Amino acid sequence: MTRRIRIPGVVDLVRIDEPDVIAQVSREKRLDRDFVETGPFLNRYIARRVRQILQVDGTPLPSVAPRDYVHRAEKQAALEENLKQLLANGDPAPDHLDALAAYVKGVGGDATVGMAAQEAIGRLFVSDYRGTGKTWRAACIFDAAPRNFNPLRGIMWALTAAVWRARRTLARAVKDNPAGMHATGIAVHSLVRSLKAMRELWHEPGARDRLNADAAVARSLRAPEQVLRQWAAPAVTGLGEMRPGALTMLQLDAARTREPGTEIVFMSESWSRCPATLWVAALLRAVWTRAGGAPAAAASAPGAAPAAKAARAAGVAP
Amino acid sequence: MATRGYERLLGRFARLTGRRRPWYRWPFLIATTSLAGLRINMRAGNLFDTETAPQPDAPTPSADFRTQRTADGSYNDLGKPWMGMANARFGRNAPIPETFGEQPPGLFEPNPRLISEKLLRRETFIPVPHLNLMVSAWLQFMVHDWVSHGENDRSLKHEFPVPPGDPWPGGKMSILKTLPDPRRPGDEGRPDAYTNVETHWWDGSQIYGSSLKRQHLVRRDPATNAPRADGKLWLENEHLPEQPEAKNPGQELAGVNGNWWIGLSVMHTLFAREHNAIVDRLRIDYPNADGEWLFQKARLVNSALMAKIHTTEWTPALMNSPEGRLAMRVNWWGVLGEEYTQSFGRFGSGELFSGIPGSPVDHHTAPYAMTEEFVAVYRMHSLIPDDFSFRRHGTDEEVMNAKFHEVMRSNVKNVYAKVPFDDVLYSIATSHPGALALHNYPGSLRRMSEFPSKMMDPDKAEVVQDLAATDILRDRERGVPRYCAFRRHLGMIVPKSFEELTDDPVWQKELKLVYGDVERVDLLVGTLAESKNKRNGTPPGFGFSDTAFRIFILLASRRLKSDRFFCEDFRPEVYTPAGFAWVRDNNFRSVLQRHAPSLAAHFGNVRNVFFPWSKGPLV
Repeated sequence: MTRRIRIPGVVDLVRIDEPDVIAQVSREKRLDRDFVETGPFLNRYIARRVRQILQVDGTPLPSVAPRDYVHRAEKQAALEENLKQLLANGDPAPDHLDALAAYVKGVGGDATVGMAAQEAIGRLFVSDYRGTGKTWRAACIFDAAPRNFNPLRGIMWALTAAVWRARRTLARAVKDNPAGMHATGIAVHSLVRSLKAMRELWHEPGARDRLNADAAVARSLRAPEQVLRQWAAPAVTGLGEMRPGALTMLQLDAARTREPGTEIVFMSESWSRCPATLWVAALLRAVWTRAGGAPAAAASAPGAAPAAKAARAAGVAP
Repeated sequence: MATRGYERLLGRFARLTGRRRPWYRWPFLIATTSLAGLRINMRAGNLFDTETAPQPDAPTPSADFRTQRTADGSYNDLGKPWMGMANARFGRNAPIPETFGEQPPGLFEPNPRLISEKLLRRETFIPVPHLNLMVSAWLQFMVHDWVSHGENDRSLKHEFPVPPGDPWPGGKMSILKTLPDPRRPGDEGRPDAYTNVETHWWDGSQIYGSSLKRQHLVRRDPATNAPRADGKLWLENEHLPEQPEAKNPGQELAGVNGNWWIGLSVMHTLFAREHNAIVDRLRIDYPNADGEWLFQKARLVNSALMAKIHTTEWTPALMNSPEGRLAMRVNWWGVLGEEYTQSFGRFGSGELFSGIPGSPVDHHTAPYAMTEEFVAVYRMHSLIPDDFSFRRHGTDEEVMNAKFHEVMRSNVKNVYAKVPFDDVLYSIATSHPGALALHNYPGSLRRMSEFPSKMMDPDKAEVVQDLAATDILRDRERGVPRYCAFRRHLGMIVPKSFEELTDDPVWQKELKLVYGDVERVDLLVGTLAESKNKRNGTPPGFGFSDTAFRIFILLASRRLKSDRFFCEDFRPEVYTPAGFAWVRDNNFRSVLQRHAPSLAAHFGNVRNVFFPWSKGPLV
């Protein structure tokens, strides 16, 4: 469903959870991640906050870097290639599979899995990365800060410089690598939500006997709840007339229920695709199997179907 | 899809009231408002598309698709001509990631045969006293219009042992697997999808078939082997003809004639006669029209009349409460009602005031398709009795009695050899269907000869099947969520224990023994168990569960609201003035009066012709 909230001078925001529309606007070149302070009051406020928080030493994190930001595409491709290579060499996160599988089976709570998932991701960037209570708390604050509309919490964070400290903690842990910081501070939450969903699935009576790993991953995989884009130039679109500064929120996790493929969950067909698509799916599959769930079914190629199918389609109903 | 403000309000209202208790436990005004809100919520959150890239190609249309229905259902939606055509995929009412088919060993847990034996087996027939058996026949007649997964590959089977001590032949059960649609590039990360071999539309395809070849067969003139030149259907002495080269010789011919039995035969015969009556009426206004044009227009009219009967007569009979009756009448005539609509026409274009027919098409959040979940909740085999009594309508004297296998498939012709059509119809209309409850699944369907078989008597057949076990397995293999998960997806209150599932302490024990955990209860079993649940179960006066009803309120509207011929093109210019008036002025009662006038006295006094008719002799 597409909804637009537009109060002149106050806010202009479109929320989209339809996969087709998301795929369509993702191709729109005027919709970018520059987050310039323009447009109605709330739009400017949100853009400023995104720019201020989601950066390392003035460099935007990859998830909020504009399409043409210097070396963005090259770094994205390089990380994607690294992760593919890593997968070709064996299990994703071999040191953490047991811990994550134990969580799925019911051992430990949110913080435990948060730290383990964060460490598994952090090791992709820094070989001795350690997920601790401190780094996990930092990730929680860092993730919540751009979306926070609670004034009391905002004041408290401002007084204690909590967001600044969280960013510093996360940045130090990955040696100021913006991609690593996004992964361990923001993206890790989608992975943790996926693992939580997998844990629920594991405990659903009978489910692990009737779902193979592919089905379990599809049911558990969670997309980022929403990603933000800003209109950089005026446009007349199916969403209506858009002015520069208007915001568009792509509600990926809601869209996932209609289109669970990577095109929505990881925006794999978009310029802003997540480079960890294969790695995350492989990790979840490995966790499910390590926990004792049924392995994946043999892959069937497009077009594969029993021969009788075609004969049936051509025949006359009995 | 953008929703209007009042729709969002209604949706929230339904969610708010639904949290405390189901809609039918609120006073009338709140209940009906909640129902409107429930439909809005489900239109937004329970329609999921399974057609992925590349989408299917629609063949060259077989008719003037602008004003006539094509044989295969293509070109109903002119933007997406494949939508709803035969062999398009079933959609879903549950989120796509939740619809992966179950795999062994869990697929067979609990053992479907055990469920059939311990929970479904009919011990004594439990009838529904306020309905007649035409309810069951009509239901199957409609289902054959909407859905069929087609034939299965006989080489691919689910096989599992039957429980110890079960005398089932061979000690194991073999059930053919449903064939999934070939996977497409766009199916990555998605579960298998299945195709509907019939058109998804409410277009009378059970009478006319879902292919041009079948359509020409039912229109055949035996003298020329070409379609009849007068636009009529092929009848012999007002009866359906035998299908040429049928696998079961003697089988009556229809657009869809699988799972055939006497009740289905009666419905097909009535509406084949109705088609021919419509042709006669149209010919008066269009004496120079050719047979093809007359056939296509009569099909359009006949299909709309069946849709109207289902909406305003059959469903209200099964939803026999003030809210249920109102909901269905509003679907067809709107809140202003039949009299207003017939006197003044539509008030505005919306569906609220003047009903869906004539309002704009809206597919809501997914292209139109029948859904797997709809197929699942329409598993209502308990409606079928095991024993049939055929009686003279004049005297109510019994002419013959028969077991189910004696009135099915090609045996139907043997019934007509002994009992005239009107007496068969009378007998059905004065008998009762079975109740949708546990322990009421017909024995004749739990042990029936597998099709095709020369021997319909299961004691003499080479291969027998247990349809109850098959029903259970079908939902599992096609990824229909189990009962609790299903209700969760529909935003319903979910039972946390067997005590919350059903009020019957014996059933609670039996269910606990078979399932162990309420979350494992299969959809079919849950819907039958809730027939004895006063708090969150079957609404008073309803013939089916509240769980099934939620899918019905969504799809009963959708079948109309997505179909161009019930929306923008439901007008005299497309139907012809005479055809449009035919739909407006007729109902099931008038169809019966026209084709079985000798029975008029028997149904003259019943409010709804799906209620039991008066038994003869009548003065």
